[in-house]
Amino acid sequence: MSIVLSASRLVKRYRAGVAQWGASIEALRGMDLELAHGELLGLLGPNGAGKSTFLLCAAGLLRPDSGTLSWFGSSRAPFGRPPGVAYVPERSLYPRFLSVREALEFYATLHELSGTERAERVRAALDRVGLAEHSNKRIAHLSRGMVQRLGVAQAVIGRPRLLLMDETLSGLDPVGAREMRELLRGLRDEGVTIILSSHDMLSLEHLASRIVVMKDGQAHAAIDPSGFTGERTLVLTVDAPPLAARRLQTRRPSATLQGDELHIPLGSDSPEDVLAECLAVGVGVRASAIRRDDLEQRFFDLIDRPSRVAEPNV
Amino acid sequence: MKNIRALRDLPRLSCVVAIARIRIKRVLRTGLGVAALFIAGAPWLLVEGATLFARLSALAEFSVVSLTVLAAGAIADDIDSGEYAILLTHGVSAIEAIAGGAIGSLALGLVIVALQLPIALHGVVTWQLTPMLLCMFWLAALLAGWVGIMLLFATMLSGKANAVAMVGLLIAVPVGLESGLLERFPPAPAAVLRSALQAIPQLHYVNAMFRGVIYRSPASPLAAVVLLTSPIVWFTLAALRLNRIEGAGRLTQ
Repeated sequence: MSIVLSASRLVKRYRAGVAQWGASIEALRGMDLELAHGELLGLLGPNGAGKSTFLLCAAGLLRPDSGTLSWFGSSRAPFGRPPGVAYVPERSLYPRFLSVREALEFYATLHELSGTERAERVRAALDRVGLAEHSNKRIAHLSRGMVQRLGVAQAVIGRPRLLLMDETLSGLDPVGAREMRELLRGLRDEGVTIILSSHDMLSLEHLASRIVVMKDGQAHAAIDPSGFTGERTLVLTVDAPPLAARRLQTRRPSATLQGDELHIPLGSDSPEDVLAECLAVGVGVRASAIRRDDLEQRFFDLIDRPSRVAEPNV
Repeated sequence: MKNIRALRDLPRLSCVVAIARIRIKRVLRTGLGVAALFIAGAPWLLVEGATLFARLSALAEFSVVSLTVLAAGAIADDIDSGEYAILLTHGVSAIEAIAGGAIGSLALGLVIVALQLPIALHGVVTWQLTPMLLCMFWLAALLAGWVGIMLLFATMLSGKANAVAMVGLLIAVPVGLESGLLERFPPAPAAVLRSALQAIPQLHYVNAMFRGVIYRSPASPLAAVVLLTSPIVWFTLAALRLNRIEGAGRLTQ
Protein backbone atom coordinates (compact mmCIF):
# COMPACT_ATOMS: atom_id res chain seq x y z
CA MET A 1 0.00 0.00 0.00
CA SER A 2 1.72 3.21 -1.11
CA ILE A 3 1.60 6.28 1.08
CA VAL A 4 0.37 9.38 -0.71
CA LEU A 5 0.74 11.88 2.11
CA SER A 6 2.61 11.63 5.35
CA ALA A 7 2.60 14.32 8.03
CA SER A 8 4.61 13.97 11.18
CA ARG A 9 4.49 16.30 14.20
CA LEU A 10 3.43 19.27 12.11
CA VAL A 11 3.40 22.57 13.94
CA LYS A 12 2.11 25.78 12.39
CA ARG A 13 1.89 29.12 14.13
CA TYR A 14 0.29 32.32 12.90
CA ARG A 15 1.45 35.71 14.05
CA ALA A 16 -1.31 37.31 16.08
CA GLY A 17 -1.08 40.74 14.42
CA VAL A 18 0.00 44.22 15.34
CA ALA A 19 -2.37 44.52 18.31
CA GLN A 20 -0.61 41.64 20.07
CA TRP A 21 2.92 42.20 18.90
CA GLY A 22 5.11 39.11 19.19
CA ALA A 23 2.26 36.79 20.11
CA SER A 24 1.37 33.81 17.94
CA ILE A 25 -1.51 31.42 17.53
CA GLU A 26 -0.67 27.73 17.25
CA ALA A 27 -3.01 26.30 14.63
CA LEU A 28 -1.29 22.91 14.38
CA ARG A 29 0.26 21.36 17.46
CA GLY A 30 1.92 18.19 16.30
CA MET A 31 -0.38 16.88 13.60
CA ASP A 32 0.31 13.30 12.51
CA LEU A 33 -1.38 11.67 9.54
CA GLU A 34 -0.68 9.01 6.95
CA LEU A 35 -2.83 8.67 3.89
CA ALA A 36 -2.75 5.60 1.67
CA HIS A 37 -3.38 5.57 -2.06
CA GLY A 38 -7.09 5.46 -2.98
CA GLU A 39 -8.36 6.54 0.44
CA LEU A 40 -11.11 9.09 0.87
CA LEU A 41 -10.28 10.53 4.23
CA GLY A 42 -12.81 12.66 6.07
CA LEU A 43 -11.44 15.43 8.24
CA LEU A 44 -13.78 16.42 11.01
CA GLY A 45 -13.41 18.82 13.88
CA PRO A 46 -14.82 21.91 15.53
CA ASN A 47 -14.03 25.35 14.09
CA GLY A 48 -10.46 26.30 14.91
CA ALA A 49 -9.31 22.69 15.17
CA GLY A 50 -6.70 23.27 12.44
CA LYS A 51 -8.34 21.46 9.51
CA SER A 52 -7.92 24.26 6.96
CA THR A 53 -4.38 24.98 8.11
CA PHE A 54 -3.49 21.32 7.70
CA LEU A 55 -4.97 21.22 4.20
CA LEU A 56 -3.07 24.38 3.21
CA CYS A 57 0.16 22.82 4.49
CA ALA A 58 -0.63 19.62 2.60
CA ALA A 59 -1.25 21.69 -0.55
CA GLY A 60 2.18 23.30 -0.14
CA LEU A 61 0.60 26.70 0.36
CA LEU A 62 1.73 27.12 3.97
CA ARG A 63 5.09 26.13 5.39
CA PRO A 64 4.95 24.32 8.72
CA ASP A 65 7.13 25.78 11.46
CA SER A 66 8.33 22.31 12.38
CA GLY A 67 7.60 18.69 11.60
CA THR A 68 7.85 16.86 8.30
CA LEU A 69 5.51 16.55 5.38
CA SER A 70 6.05 14.27 2.40
CA TRP A 71 4.05 13.56 -0.74
CA PHE A 72 4.19 10.29 -2.66
CA GLY A 73 7.15 9.17 -0.57
CA SER A 74 9.39 12.20 -0.88
CA SER A 75 9.66 15.54 0.86
CA ARG A 76 9.21 18.57 -1.32
CA ALA A 77 12.05 20.85 -2.38
CA PRO A 78 12.52 23.77 0.03
CA PHE A 79 10.73 26.24 -2.23
CA GLY A 80 8.95 23.88 -4.57
CA ARG A 81 5.33 22.85 -4.39
CA PRO A 82 4.16 19.26 -4.46
CA PRO A 83 3.25 18.15 -7.97
CA GLY A 84 0.07 16.13 -8.47
CA VAL A 85 -1.73 17.81 -5.57
CA ALA A 86 -4.85 19.89 -6.17
CA TYR A 87 -6.69 22.05 -3.68
CA VAL A 88 -10.33 23.10 -3.55
CA PRO A 89 -10.71 26.11 -1.23
CA GLU A 90 -13.66 26.77 1.02
CA ARG A 91 -14.43 30.12 -0.61
CA SER A 92 -14.16 31.48 -4.12
CA LEU A 93 -10.53 32.25 -4.95
CA TYR A 94 -11.07 32.50 -8.67
CA PRO A 95 -11.04 35.58 -10.92
CA ARG A 96 -14.62 36.80 -10.50
CA PHE A 97 -14.62 38.73 -13.78
CA LEU A 98 -14.03 35.59 -15.87
CA SER A 99 -16.69 33.21 -17.10
CA VAL A 100 -16.59 29.61 -15.88
CA ARG A 101 -15.21 28.41 -19.22
CA GLU A 102 -12.59 31.18 -19.39
CA ALA A 103 -11.40 30.35 -15.89
CA LEU A 104 -11.08 26.65 -16.67
CA GLU A 105 -9.29 27.40 -19.94
CA PHE A 106 -6.91 29.64 -18.01
CA TYR A 107 -6.12 26.91 -15.48
CA ALA A 108 -5.72 24.35 -18.26
CA THR A 109 -3.24 26.67 -20.01
CA LEU A 110 -1.10 26.65 -16.88
CA HIS A 111 -0.63 22.88 -17.35
CA GLU A 112 0.85 23.49 -20.81
CA LEU A 113 -1.66 21.33 -22.64
CA SER A 114 -2.06 21.38 -26.37
CA GLY A 115 -5.08 23.26 -27.74
CA THR A 116 -7.06 20.09 -28.40
CA GLU A 117 -6.29 18.51 -25.06
CA ARG A 118 -7.04 21.75 -23.26
CA ALA A 119 -10.45 22.01 -24.89
CA GLU A 120 -11.14 18.35 -24.14
CA ARG A 121 -10.22 18.68 -20.48
CA VAL A 122 -12.30 21.82 -20.05
CA ARG A 123 -15.29 20.11 -21.65
CA ALA A 124 -14.80 17.00 -19.50
CA ALA A 125 -14.44 19.06 -16.31
CA LEU A 126 -17.58 21.07 -17.10
CA ASP A 127 -19.58 17.90 -17.78
CA ARG A 128 -18.21 16.19 -14.73
CA VAL A 129 -19.28 18.89 -12.29
CA GLY A 130 -22.52 19.71 -14.12
CA LEU A 131 -21.59 23.26 -15.05
CA ALA A 132 -21.71 22.87 -18.84
CA GLU A 133 -24.92 24.87 -19.16
CA HIS A 134 -23.52 27.65 -16.96
CA SER A 135 -20.13 27.79 -18.66
CA ASN A 136 -20.65 31.31 -20.02
CA LYS A 137 -21.74 32.76 -16.68
CA ARG A 138 -19.33 35.08 -14.90
CA ILE A 139 -17.95 33.60 -11.69
CA ALA A 140 -19.22 36.67 -9.81
CA HIS A 141 -22.77 35.61 -10.71
CA LEU A 142 -22.49 31.97 -9.59
CA SER A 143 -24.28 30.62 -6.55
CA ARG A 144 -22.18 29.20 -3.72
CA GLY A 145 -22.94 25.66 -4.82
CA MET A 146 -21.81 26.42 -8.36
CA VAL A 147 -18.60 27.96 -7.06
CA GLN A 148 -17.93 24.75 -5.15
CA ARG A 149 -18.40 22.79 -8.36
CA LEU A 150 -16.10 25.17 -10.19
CA GLY A 151 -13.56 24.53 -7.43
CA VAL A 152 -13.68 20.82 -8.12
CA ALA A 153 -13.51 21.43 -11.88
CA GLN A 154 -10.38 23.58 -11.63
CA ALA A 155 -8.81 21.02 -9.33
CA VAL A 156 -9.41 18.02 -11.59
CA ILE A 157 -8.29 19.77 -14.76
CA GLY A 158 -4.67 18.99 -13.94
CA ARG A 159 -5.52 15.30 -13.25
CA PRO A 160 -4.23 15.29 -9.67
CA ARG A 161 -3.27 12.23 -7.66
CA LEU A 162 -4.18 13.87 -4.36
CA LEU A 163 -7.21 16.12 -3.97
CA LEU A 164 -7.55 18.33 -0.89
CA MET A 165 -11.03 19.69 -0.33
CA ASP A 166 -11.85 22.28 2.30
CA GLU A 167 -15.57 22.41 3.17
CA THR A 168 -16.52 21.61 -0.41
CA LEU A 169 -19.89 20.22 0.64
CA SER A 170 -21.00 23.33 2.49
CA GLY A 171 -23.54 25.58 0.86
CA LEU A 172 -24.92 22.89 -1.43
CA ASP A 173 -28.61 22.14 -1.65
CA PRO A 174 -29.61 18.48 -1.00
CA VAL A 175 -29.55 17.64 -4.71
CA GLY A 176 -26.24 19.40 -5.19
CA ALA A 177 -24.78 17.65 -2.15
CA ARG A 178 -25.84 14.26 -3.50
CA GLU A 179 -24.33 15.05 -6.90
CA MET A 180 -21.12 16.19 -5.27
CA ARG A 181 -20.96 12.95 -3.26
CA GLU A 182 -21.39 10.99 -6.49
CA LEU A 183 -18.65 13.08 -8.08
CA LEU A 184 -16.26 12.37 -5.21
CA ARG A 185 -17.06 8.65 -5.31
CA GLY A 186 -16.28 8.67 -9.02
CA LEU A 187 -12.94 10.36 -8.44
CA ARG A 188 -12.08 7.92 -5.66
CA ASP A 189 -12.98 4.99 -7.93
CA GLU A 190 -10.58 6.38 -10.53
CA GLY A 191 -7.77 6.18 -7.98
CA VAL A 192 -7.64 9.79 -6.83
CA THR A 193 -6.78 9.99 -3.14
CA ILE A 194 -8.97 12.56 -1.41
CA ILE A 195 -9.00 14.43 1.88
CA LEU A 196 -12.35 16.02 2.49
CA SER A 197 -12.75 18.45 5.35
CA SER A 198 -16.42 18.87 6.19
CA HIS A 199 -18.95 19.47 8.92
CA ASP A 200 -21.49 17.41 6.95
CA MET A 201 -21.34 14.25 9.03
CA LEU A 202 -23.93 12.37 7.02
CA SER A 203 -21.90 12.82 3.84
CA LEU A 204 -18.67 11.90 5.58
CA GLU A 205 -20.26 8.79 7.04
CA HIS A 206 -21.38 7.71 3.57
CA LEU A 207 -18.27 8.72 1.66
CA ALA A 208 -15.18 8.36 3.78
CA SER A 209 -13.17 5.20 4.18
CA ARG A 210 -11.68 6.71 7.34
CA ILE A 211 -12.47 9.78 9.38
CA VAL A 212 -9.90 11.67 11.41
CA VAL A 213 -11.24 13.92 14.14
CA MET A 214 -9.06 16.96 14.70
CA LYS A 215 -9.04 18.84 17.95
CA ASP A 216 -6.68 21.57 19.18
CA GLY A 217 -4.43 21.26 16.14
CA GLN A 218 -3.91 17.52 16.40
CA ALA A 219 -5.34 14.30 15.03
CA HIS A 220 -7.42 13.44 18.06
CA ALA A 221 -8.96 10.14 16.95
CA ALA A 222 -9.60 8.01 13.89
CA ILE A 223 -13.00 6.53 13.18
CA ASP A 224 -14.00 3.70 10.87
CA PRO A 225 -17.37 4.84 9.50
CA SER A 226 -18.30 1.35 8.33
CA GLY A 227 -18.75 0.25 11.97
CA PHE A 228 -21.81 2.38 12.71
CA THR A 229 -25.11 0.54 13.09
CA GLY A 230 -27.36 3.57 13.40
CA GLU A 231 -29.20 1.90 16.29
CA ARG A 232 -30.84 4.12 18.90
CA THR A 233 -30.30 3.76 22.62
CA LEU A 234 -32.34 5.46 25.32
CA VAL A 235 -30.07 6.76 28.07
CA LEU A 236 -31.79 7.37 31.38
CA THR A 237 -30.56 9.15 34.47
CA VAL A 238 -32.47 7.46 37.27
CA ASP A 239 -32.87 7.35 41.06
CA ALA A 240 -31.06 4.42 42.71
CA PRO A 241 -29.45 3.13 39.50
CA PRO A 242 -28.62 -0.50 40.55
CA LEU A 243 -32.15 -1.08 41.84
CA ALA A 244 -33.68 0.61 38.80
CA ALA A 245 -31.58 -1.58 36.48
CA ARG A 246 -32.74 -4.77 38.20
CA ARG A 247 -36.38 -3.68 38.02
CA LEU A 248 -36.24 -2.65 34.38
CA GLN A 249 -34.34 -5.78 33.35
CA THR A 250 -37.38 -7.81 34.35
CA ARG A 251 -39.12 -6.30 31.36
CA ARG A 252 -36.15 -5.23 29.22
CA PRO A 253 -33.31 -7.77 29.58
CA SER A 254 -31.17 -5.79 27.13
CA ALA A 255 -31.03 -2.78 29.49
CA THR A 256 -27.56 -2.25 30.97
CA LEU A 257 -26.17 -0.11 33.74
CA GLN A 258 -23.23 2.04 32.56
CA GLY A 259 -21.96 4.16 35.41
CA ASP A 260 -25.02 5.84 36.83
CA GLU A 261 -26.96 5.65 33.59
CA LEU A 262 -29.31 3.04 32.21
CA HIS A 263 -28.79 2.22 28.54
CA ILE A 264 -31.76 0.65 26.78
CA PRO A 265 -31.52 -0.34 23.09
CA LEU A 266 -34.71 0.92 21.46
CA GLY A 267 -34.92 -1.30 18.40
CA SER A 268 -38.26 -0.53 16.78
CA ASP A 269 -39.83 0.72 20.05
CA SER A 270 -40.43 4.35 20.77
CA PRO A 271 -38.85 6.10 23.79
CA GLU A 272 -42.37 6.67 25.15
CA ASP A 273 -42.93 2.87 25.32
CA VAL A 274 -39.79 2.42 27.43
CA LEU A 275 -40.59 5.36 29.67
CA ALA A 276 -44.06 3.93 30.27
CA GLU A 277 -42.44 0.63 31.30
CA CYS A 278 -40.15 2.50 33.68
CA LEU A 279 -43.17 4.05 35.36
CA ALA A 280 -44.86 0.66 35.52
CA VAL A 281 -41.91 -0.98 37.35
CA GLY A 282 -41.32 2.02 39.63
CA VAL A 283 -38.13 3.41 38.11
CA GLY A 284 -37.79 7.14 38.86
CA VAL A 285 -36.45 8.82 35.72
CA ARG A 286 -34.73 12.17 36.25
CA ALA A 287 -33.56 12.79 32.67
CA SER A 288 -33.48 11.01 29.37
CA ALA A 289 -31.63 11.28 26.11
CA ILE A 290 -31.44 9.31 22.90
CA ARG A 291 -28.08 8.20 21.56
CA ARG A 292 -27.63 6.89 18.07
CA ASP A 293 -24.69 4.74 17.03
CA ASP A 294 -23.55 7.15 14.32
CA LEU A 295 -20.75 9.52 13.45
CA GLU A 296 -22.40 12.52 15.03
CA GLN A 297 -22.69 10.77 18.39
CA ARG A 298 -19.12 9.49 18.22
CA PHE A 299 -17.86 12.93 17.26
CA PHE A 300 -19.55 14.62 20.20
CA ASP A 301 -18.27 11.94 22.53
CA LEU A 302 -14.75 12.51 21.24
CA ILE A 303 -14.74 16.25 21.61
CA ASP A 304 -16.37 16.05 25.06
CA ARG A 305 -19.44 18.04 24.22
CA PRO A 306 -23.06 17.07 24.75
CA SER A 307 -24.57 15.76 21.53
CA ARG A 308 -28.20 16.41 22.32
CA VAL A 309 -29.95 18.42 24.93
CA ALA A 310 -31.32 16.12 27.60
CA GLU A 311 -35.06 15.84 27.54
CA PRO A 312 -36.96 17.20 30.54
CA ASN A 313 -37.94 15.08 33.51
CA VAL A 314 -40.62 12.53 32.85
CA MET B 1 20.84 31.11 -1.59
CA LYS B 2 18.05 28.51 -1.68
CA ASN B 3 15.64 31.30 -2.47
CA ILE B 4 17.76 32.53 -5.35
CA ARG B 5 18.23 28.97 -6.68
CA ALA B 6 14.44 28.58 -6.75
CA LEU B 7 14.28 31.41 -9.31
CA ARG B 8 16.81 29.77 -11.62
CA ASP B 9 14.25 27.90 -13.71
CA LEU B 10 13.15 29.91 -16.70
CA PRO B 11 9.52 30.99 -16.59
CA ARG B 12 7.23 29.18 -19.01
CA LEU B 13 6.11 31.61 -21.68
CA SER B 14 2.61 30.15 -22.03
CA CYS B 15 1.97 30.64 -18.28
CA VAL B 16 3.35 34.16 -18.28
CA VAL B 17 1.21 35.15 -21.26
CA ALA B 18 -1.90 33.53 -19.73
CA ILE B 19 -1.41 35.43 -16.46
CA ALA B 20 -0.76 38.68 -18.34
CA ARG B 21 -3.99 38.22 -20.31
CA ILE B 22 -5.92 37.71 -17.08
CA ARG B 23 -4.50 40.96 -15.69
CA ILE B 24 -5.60 42.86 -18.80
CA LYS B 25 -9.06 41.28 -18.66
CA ARG B 26 -9.35 42.30 -15.00
CA VAL B 27 -8.76 45.93 -15.92
CA LEU B 28 -11.08 45.86 -18.90
CA ARG B 29 -13.92 44.22 -17.01
CA THR B 30 -13.79 45.88 -13.61
CA GLY B 31 -14.14 49.58 -14.42
CA LEU B 32 -10.53 50.41 -13.59
CA GLY B 33 -9.93 50.99 -17.29
CA VAL B 34 -12.45 53.82 -17.38
CA ALA B 35 -10.70 55.64 -14.54
CA ALA B 36 -7.31 55.20 -16.17
CA LEU B 37 -8.63 56.34 -19.55
CA PHE B 38 -9.99 59.47 -17.93
CA ILE B 39 -6.61 60.27 -16.40
CA ALA B 40 -4.75 59.36 -19.57
CA GLY B 41 -7.02 61.65 -21.59
CA ALA B 42 -6.41 64.68 -19.38
CA PRO B 43 -3.26 65.87 -21.22
CA TRP B 44 -5.40 66.38 -24.32
CA LEU B 45 -7.10 69.23 -22.47
CA LEU B 46 -4.19 70.55 -20.46
CA VAL B 47 -1.15 70.82 -22.65
CA GLU B 48 -2.50 72.25 -25.88
CA GLY B 49 0.04 74.68 -27.27
CA ALA B 50 2.77 73.82 -24.74
CA THR B 51 6.38 73.12 -25.70
CA LEU B 52 7.42 69.64 -26.78
CA PHE B 53 9.25 69.09 -23.51
CA ALA B 54 6.20 70.15 -21.49
CA ARG B 55 3.96 67.82 -23.50
CA LEU B 56 6.32 64.87 -23.04
CA SER B 57 6.68 65.65 -19.37
CA ALA B 58 2.89 65.67 -19.01
CA LEU B 59 2.69 62.42 -20.98
CA ALA B 60 5.11 60.78 -18.53
CA GLU B 61 3.32 62.15 -15.48
CA PHE B 62 -0.17 61.13 -16.58
CA SER B 63 1.08 57.74 -17.75
CA VAL B 64 2.60 56.96 -14.36
CA VAL B 65 -0.52 58.10 -12.53
CA SER B 66 -2.82 56.12 -14.87
CA LEU B 67 -0.68 53.02 -14.52
CA THR B 68 -0.77 53.37 -10.73
CA VAL B 69 -4.57 53.60 -10.82
CA LEU B 70 -4.78 50.62 -13.16
CA ALA B 71 -2.31 48.27 -11.64
CA ALA B 72 -1.26 49.05 -8.05
CA GLY B 73 -4.41 47.75 -6.37
CA ALA B 74 -5.03 44.96 -8.88
CA ILE B 75 -1.49 43.59 -8.64
CA ALA B 76 -1.77 43.33 -4.87
CA ASP B 77 -5.31 41.93 -5.12
CA ASP B 78 -3.98 39.09 -7.25
CA ILE B 79 -1.88 37.95 -4.31
CA ASP B 80 -4.27 39.04 -1.58
CA SER B 81 -7.48 37.48 -2.80
CA GLY B 82 -6.12 33.93 -2.85
CA GLU B 83 -6.02 33.72 -6.64
CA TYR B 84 -2.25 33.46 -6.37
CA ALA B 85 -2.60 30.45 -4.06
CA ILE B 86 -4.70 28.66 -6.66
CA LEU B 87 -2.15 29.48 -9.35
CA LEU B 88 0.51 27.84 -7.22
CA THR B 89 -1.52 24.65 -6.99
CA HIS B 90 -1.48 24.59 -10.80
CA GLY B 91 2.31 24.60 -10.82
CA VAL B 92 2.88 28.32 -11.41
CA SER B 93 6.11 29.65 -9.91
CA ALA B 94 6.57 33.01 -8.20
CA ILE B 95 8.65 34.33 -11.09
CA GLU B 96 5.96 33.32 -13.59
CA ALA B 97 3.31 35.08 -11.54
CA ILE B 98 5.47 38.20 -11.26
CA ALA B 99 6.43 38.16 -14.92
CA GLY B 100 2.81 37.68 -16.00
CA GLY B 101 1.67 40.53 -13.76
CA ALA B 102 4.47 42.76 -15.00
CA ILE B 103 3.88 42.08 -18.70
CA GLY B 104 0.14 42.61 -18.34
CA SER B 105 0.70 45.88 -16.52
CA LEU B 106 3.26 47.08 -19.02
CA ALA B 107 0.97 46.26 -21.92
CA LEU B 108 -1.64 48.46 -20.27
CA GLY B 109 1.02 51.13 -19.76
CA LEU B 110 1.81 51.06 -23.46
CA VAL B 111 -1.86 51.51 -24.29
CA ILE B 112 -1.97 54.53 -21.98
CA VAL B 113 1.10 56.01 -23.67
CA ALA B 114 -0.31 55.29 -27.13
CA LEU B 115 -3.52 57.12 -26.22
CA GLN B 116 -1.53 60.21 -25.34
CA LEU B 117 1.02 60.09 -28.11
CA PRO B 118 -0.93 62.10 -30.69
CA ILE B 119 -1.02 65.14 -28.42
CA ALA B 120 2.57 64.63 -27.26
CA LEU B 121 3.84 64.37 -30.83
CA HIS B 122 1.65 67.10 -32.26
CA GLY B 123 3.81 69.26 -34.53
CA VAL B 124 6.82 66.95 -34.42
CA VAL B 125 8.62 66.94 -37.77
CA THR B 126 10.27 63.95 -39.40
CA TRP B 127 13.83 64.79 -38.35
CA GLN B 128 12.73 64.71 -34.68
CA LEU B 129 11.51 61.11 -34.82
CA THR B 130 14.74 59.51 -33.59
CA PRO B 131 14.88 61.70 -30.46
CA MET B 132 11.18 60.98 -29.98
CA LEU B 133 11.81 57.25 -30.05
CA LEU B 134 14.61 57.75 -27.54
CA CYS B 135 12.23 59.66 -25.28
CA MET B 136 9.70 56.81 -25.55
CA PHE B 137 12.45 54.37 -24.59
CA TRP B 138 13.16 56.34 -21.40
CA LEU B 139 9.46 56.55 -20.66
CA ALA B 140 9.11 52.77 -21.12
CA ALA B 141 12.04 52.26 -18.73
CA LEU B 142 10.36 54.50 -16.16
CA LEU B 143 7.05 52.61 -16.45
CA ALA B 144 8.79 49.22 -16.20
CA GLY B 145 10.68 50.30 -13.09
CA TRP B 146 7.50 51.70 -11.60
CA VAL B 147 5.68 48.40 -12.23
CA GLY B 148 8.60 46.60 -10.57
CA ILE B 149 8.18 48.68 -7.42
CA MET B 150 4.41 48.12 -7.47
CA LEU B 151 5.01 44.38 -7.65
CA LEU B 152 7.46 44.46 -4.76
CA PHE B 153 5.09 46.49 -2.60
CA ALA B 154 2.24 44.16 -3.59
CA THR B 155 4.06 41.27 -1.92
CA MET B 156 3.85 43.18 1.36
CA LEU B 157 0.63 45.20 1.20
CA SER B 158 -3.01 44.51 0.50
CA GLY B 159 -4.67 45.87 -2.66
CA LYS B 160 -5.90 49.21 -1.36
CA ALA B 161 -2.83 49.77 0.80
CA ASN B 162 -0.62 49.19 -2.23
CA ALA B 163 -2.51 51.77 -4.28
CA VAL B 164 -2.23 54.30 -1.45
CA ALA B 165 1.47 53.52 -0.95
CA MET B 166 2.27 54.01 -4.63
CA VAL B 167 0.47 57.37 -4.75
CA GLY B 168 2.33 58.29 -1.55
CA LEU B 169 5.61 57.29 -3.17
CA LEU B 170 4.84 59.38 -6.21
CA ILE B 171 4.53 62.42 -3.95
CA ALA B 172 7.10 61.55 -1.28
CA VAL B 173 10.14 61.01 -3.50
CA PRO B 174 10.34 64.51 -4.98
CA VAL B 175 9.42 66.03 -1.61
CA GLY B 176 12.15 64.02 0.11
CA LEU B 177 14.79 64.83 -2.45
CA GLU B 178 14.03 68.40 -3.36
CA SER B 179 12.48 70.07 -0.32
CA GLY B 180 15.62 70.16 1.80
CA LEU B 181 13.99 67.83 4.29
CA LEU B 182 16.98 65.51 4.31
CA GLU B 183 19.31 68.38 5.31
CA ARG B 184 17.68 68.32 8.74
CA PHE B 185 18.78 64.72 9.33
CA PRO B 186 22.24 63.71 10.65
CA PRO B 187 24.65 63.13 7.72
CA ALA B 188 24.75 59.31 7.82
CA PRO B 189 20.99 58.60 7.90
CA ALA B 190 20.45 61.43 5.40
CA ALA B 191 22.91 59.79 2.98
CA VAL B 192 21.19 56.41 3.34
CA LEU B 193 17.75 57.94 2.84
CA ARG B 194 18.91 59.96 -0.14
CA SER B 195 20.42 56.86 -1.78
CA ALA B 196 17.22 54.90 -1.18
CA LEU B 197 15.07 57.66 -2.67
CA GLN B 198 17.42 58.06 -5.62
CA ALA B 199 17.17 54.35 -6.41
CA ILE B 200 13.44 54.76 -7.12
CA PRO B 201 12.62 55.47 -10.77
CA GLN B 202 10.91 58.84 -10.84
CA LEU B 203 9.46 61.47 -13.14
CA HIS B 204 12.32 63.81 -12.31
CA TYR B 205 14.74 61.34 -13.98
CA VAL B 206 12.72 60.83 -17.11
CA ASN B 207 12.33 64.60 -17.45
CA ALA B 208 16.11 64.95 -17.19
CA MET B 209 16.49 62.40 -20.00
CA PHE B 210 13.85 64.18 -22.12
CA ARG B 211 15.71 67.45 -21.61
CA GLY B 212 18.97 65.78 -22.61
CA VAL B 213 17.43 64.39 -25.79
CA ILE B 214 15.41 67.45 -26.87
CA TYR B 215 17.82 70.24 -25.89
CA ARG B 216 20.98 68.11 -26.24
CA SER B 217 21.98 69.09 -22.73
CA PRO B 218 24.33 66.76 -20.78
CA ALA B 219 22.39 63.70 -19.61
CA SER B 220 22.23 62.81 -15.94
CA PRO B 221 24.26 59.59 -15.38
CA LEU B 222 22.29 58.83 -12.19
CA ALA B 223 18.96 59.15 -13.99
CA ALA B 224 20.13 56.93 -16.86
CA VAL B 225 21.55 54.25 -14.55
CA VAL B 226 18.45 54.14 -12.32
CA LEU B 227 16.04 54.07 -15.26
CA LEU B 228 17.99 51.31 -17.01
CA THR B 229 18.62 49.09 -13.98
CA SER B 230 15.48 49.57 -11.90
CA PRO B 231 13.19 47.29 -13.95
CA ILE B 232 15.60 44.39 -13.44
CA VAL B 233 16.40 45.20 -9.80
CA TRP B 234 12.80 45.71 -8.66
CA PHE B 235 11.41 42.73 -10.61
CA THR B 236 14.08 40.48 -9.13
CA LEU B 237 13.42 41.73 -5.60
CA ALA B 238 9.66 41.25 -6.11
CA ALA B 239 10.15 37.70 -7.43
CA LEU B 240 12.47 36.81 -4.54
CA ARG B 241 10.03 38.22 -2.02
CA LEU B 242 7.00 36.48 -3.57
CA ASN B 243 8.90 33.22 -3.68
CA ARG B 244 9.68 33.61 0.00
CA ILE B 245 6.19 34.33 1.29
CA GLU B 246 3.69 31.54 1.80
CA GLY B 247 1.19 31.03 -1.02
CA ALA B 248 -1.76 31.12 1.33
CA GLY B 249 -0.22 33.49 3.85
CA ARG B 250 -2.77 36.23 3.21
CA LEU B 251 -5.73 33.82 3.35
CA THR B 252 -5.04 32.95 6.94
CA GLN B 253 -4.79 36.52 8.26
